[in-house]
Amino acid sequence: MRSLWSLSDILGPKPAERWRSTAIRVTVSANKKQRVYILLNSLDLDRAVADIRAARRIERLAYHFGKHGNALGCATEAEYVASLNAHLERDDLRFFVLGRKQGDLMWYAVAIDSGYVAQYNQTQGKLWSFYRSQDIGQFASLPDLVEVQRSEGHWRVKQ
Amino acid sequence: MTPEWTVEQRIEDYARRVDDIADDYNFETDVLEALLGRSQLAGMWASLTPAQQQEVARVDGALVNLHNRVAEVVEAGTGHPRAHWWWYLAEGPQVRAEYDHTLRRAS
Repeated sequence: MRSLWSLSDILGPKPAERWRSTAIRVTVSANKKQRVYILLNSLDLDRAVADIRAARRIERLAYHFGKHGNALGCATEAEYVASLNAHLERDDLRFFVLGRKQGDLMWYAVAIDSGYVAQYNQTQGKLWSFYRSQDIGQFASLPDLVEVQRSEGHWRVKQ
Repeated sequence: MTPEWTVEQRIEDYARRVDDIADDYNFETDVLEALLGRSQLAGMWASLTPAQQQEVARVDGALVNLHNRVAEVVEAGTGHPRAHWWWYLAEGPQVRAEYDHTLRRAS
């Protein structure tokens, strides 16, 4: 009597393949987020947040204005930049971080009431985008994002 | 006060995000925001005109073709209903057809 069964034997070949690929992605995803925690814990987060707030030059301005200006209610590039600067000066922004495939750390400075998001590529030290999220509540709950929040006067990784 | 999104803005945003997923520049954010936007459109589907629904379906087709890119960013599901098949594209392009097939059987 056969005593050793493969996953394919039990589930069938196609479901077994799907299970295997999902299991690998879950493991990789857990490691991705762990890498972000490690990187963030090695940073001066007060300095990191200060750098984002002080940033003023956005990469590919014309491209981002064309893509996001309408949803932000901005009719010109100048309005888009003014809106971005005003956003970065808010004292109620929440900060989230995503680890990119290339290894960059991408920060998202979020205003929950408006859904406006300023993106900052920390590895390159540049504002990466400014846009309005279609669902900021869901965005802030995405499992791959790590939040950095203010506690006792300093910015810290939220565990 | 921040103005509400219009349906046209939501569809345009969804389309632009999907268009840019193939470009490495900001594709993770484009994937996440495309999926979030698509879920918003699903919630207001009955209020879309036939032309708007057709446009969303066209963009859906483009998104399905980019399922490998979506899989690089989003694990399948993560708490979303199966009807929101776009969150399950990490399982493969068949998820859209499987959901459509399930709908047809139910109706």
